[in-house]
Amino acid sequence: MTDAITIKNLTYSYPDQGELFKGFDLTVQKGEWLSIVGHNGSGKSTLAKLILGLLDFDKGHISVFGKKLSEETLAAIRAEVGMVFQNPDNQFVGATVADDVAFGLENRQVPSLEMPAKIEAALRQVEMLDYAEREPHTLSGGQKQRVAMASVLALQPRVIILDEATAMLDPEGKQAVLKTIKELKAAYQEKLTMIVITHDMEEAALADRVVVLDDGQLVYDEAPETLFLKGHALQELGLTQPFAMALQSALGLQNPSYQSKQELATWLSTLKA
Amino acid sequence: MNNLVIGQFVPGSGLLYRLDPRTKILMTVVYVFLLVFANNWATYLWAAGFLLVALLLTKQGLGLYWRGLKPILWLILFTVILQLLFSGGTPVLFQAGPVKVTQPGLQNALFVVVRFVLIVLMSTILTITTAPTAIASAIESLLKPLKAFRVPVAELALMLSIALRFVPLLMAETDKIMKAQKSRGMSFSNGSLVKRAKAVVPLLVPLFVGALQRALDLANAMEVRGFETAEGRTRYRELSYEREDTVAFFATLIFIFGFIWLSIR
Amino acid sequence: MVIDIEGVDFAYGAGKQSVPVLKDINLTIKEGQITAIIGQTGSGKSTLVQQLNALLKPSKGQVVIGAHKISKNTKEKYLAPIRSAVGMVFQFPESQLFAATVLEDVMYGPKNFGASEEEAKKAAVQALKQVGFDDRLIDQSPFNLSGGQMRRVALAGVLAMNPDTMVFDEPAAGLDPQGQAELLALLKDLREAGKTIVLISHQMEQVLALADQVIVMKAGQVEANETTAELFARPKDWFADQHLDLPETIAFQKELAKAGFTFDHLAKTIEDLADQLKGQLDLAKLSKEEVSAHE
Repeated sequence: MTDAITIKNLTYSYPDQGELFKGFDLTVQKGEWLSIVGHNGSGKSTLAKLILGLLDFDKGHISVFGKKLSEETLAAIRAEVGMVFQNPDNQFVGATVADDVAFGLENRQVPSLEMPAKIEAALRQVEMLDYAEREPHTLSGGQKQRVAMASVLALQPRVIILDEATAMLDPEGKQAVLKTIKELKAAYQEKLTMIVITHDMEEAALADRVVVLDDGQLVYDEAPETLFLKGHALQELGLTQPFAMALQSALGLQNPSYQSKQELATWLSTLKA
Repeated sequence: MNNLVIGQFVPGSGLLYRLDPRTKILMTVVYVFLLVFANNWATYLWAAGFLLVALLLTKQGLGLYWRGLKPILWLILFTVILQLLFSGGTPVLFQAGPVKVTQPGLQNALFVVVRFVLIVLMSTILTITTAPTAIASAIESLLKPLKAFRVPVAELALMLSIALRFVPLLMAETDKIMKAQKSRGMSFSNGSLVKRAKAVVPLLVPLFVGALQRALDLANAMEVRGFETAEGRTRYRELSYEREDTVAFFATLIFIFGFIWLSIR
Repeated sequence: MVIDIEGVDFAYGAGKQSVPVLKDINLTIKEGQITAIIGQTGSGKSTLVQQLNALLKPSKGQVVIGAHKISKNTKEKYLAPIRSAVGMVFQFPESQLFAATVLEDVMYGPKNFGASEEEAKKAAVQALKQVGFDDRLIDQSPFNLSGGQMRRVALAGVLAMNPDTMVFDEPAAGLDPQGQAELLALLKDLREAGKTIVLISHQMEQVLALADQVIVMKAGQVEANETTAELFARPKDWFADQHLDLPETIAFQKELAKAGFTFDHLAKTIEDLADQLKGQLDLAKLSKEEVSAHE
């Protein structure tokens, strides 16, 4: 099986600043749901920008489905990898919701007659079809982010990167976006590789695998079930534990295992004295 | 600022909404151009009649247009007074010291008001019934011949539509930064001109920085969605002449001939 | 200073097109406390706090701040003392930075309110220290700083005016967990120092950890105004109706209460919840499964 994304021996420095990544390696498997977490400035978002060729790295290589990222393959790789950014306002190109979804299709020179069906399908997937003719300033942050997801989906990418897509949203907006992510993953299964960059641990816990970055170093790379046992170590990295794990730690349980609050509550009820 | 009707798109379903934006732009241009030559009451009446038909075909309440006119009433009043006081001729209708109002002056003033109002209303009809993007692509299409002179028409049109898209956002941002600096004691109202100009810096710098950040973010978002150049992209909203446009075309022709006949009669 | 909001209505625009946002608000913001204002997006929270330093003036009613009154007819020239008494920190305040250096930016407020160059500098240095800003960077351009550092500079810019009351609109938005924890600590310090604090927040964890009093806004009206303990004692369904979350500890506590567990107080932290829970768990059963050796 080909890997979705392979990063080998990557070296990158910010302009006028020290090295961020030095000999960095990471492999993302096809169909995987990966979370990348770390405090602000740990290099999470920079990594996403490097994968999409928005920043140039100094050494090493990045390949997407076996294709090595270079000037020549850039367009082909961007056709495979879609990205949703943090600020809902700054990625809305179109004058209306439908126009925004159309923007990528227009760039890819999809014939005009084929566009309405694709736009409709994409908006339906994120439950924003009723808003097709709305202008961006009449939408909430969560709605704008779902439109951004539709804009990416319309291009049928094999990988979607969400770069702190919920960080600027209110709780309702955040829940709506998370619900959409879950539905997409359920609908596409192995056909869609999902990379979620976040500093929200509840969000990270939804992934199959979590990678923790600290100043460009990969500190942990494991399943959320085991990662979130490391309460104190996570704190040192400026991160927190999801609630259910934190409570089990506080209760002094040696092998906390219940990830969802509901499961934990049910289990605790059976232990009631 | 939200009450400004001129330049605002108001979604609706009237016949004028279905016209090709190019048709509407050309009609508006022809209309405004002709009005400059209006020279008697018959021509104004004819032009007003044409406007009224267009207005009704937008299926928007007249209240909307009234609100559009209201903010510029003082401007109209000002022009009227200038016209009244500074046109000569006879007979004199009214005189008080150096101030005198003559009959040609009065007539001129009334003509200016009517012309002004008609032009404003016609442009308002255009913007109310046409989404900003449609205006941008119509301009692009109408300016296509300029491509022969290496004018980057497609880029300019895209820039225009993105600029229009960011207007509400920048207005909100301006409001927020203004309030933040007011909370820190900023005031515009006192001091010399230099002092007042300096007082604007805390407003302008954050606005520029913010706009720059938005531009960088937007460039990234556009690039990852496959944007390379404005040239050669397909169109979601294709402009196409329909039967309604032909009807509008003939209506405009009738208007033009009627107008010319009335003005040389 | 106590702030009294008396019969305040507020509408954007005038006449037929006016959009009412606040309806008949009557509130007292108590001195030296942290008052949280919560409610769904669009419920009028931001509009309400902007009445507190006259960025928006009430369409009806008045706001009384110590010796000052703000009503519809209050003239612009009387607002300076109000603005210096009530500091306002907007959401993402780093977007208000403008000066060539950090120090100059923080001095802007105090100078506007009549402080001399020296006084302003002293206040700025003090405020920057209070927000934990690295003092080696005070002569740097604020635009070279990280997002977290910029936020601190912006906070210092308001703090340096030494207002009695400080209003924070979603101060932790966009910060990582560590940044959020530091901000919470700063707000606690400010209250210790005697400031009155008004906090708009969507994060119920923050409200629970910080607030003494909570005002719940709904469609431009005050839906509830009570102590934090009273508020979170309300049933889960009530919060759902307001489109509000419960803090995780309290939601979990309520869930367990349904299963027959009893609690003598609302759990403020996870540790607090664990302590209240431990005595009620069957340790024998627990040890069979997995109980830690050091328990």
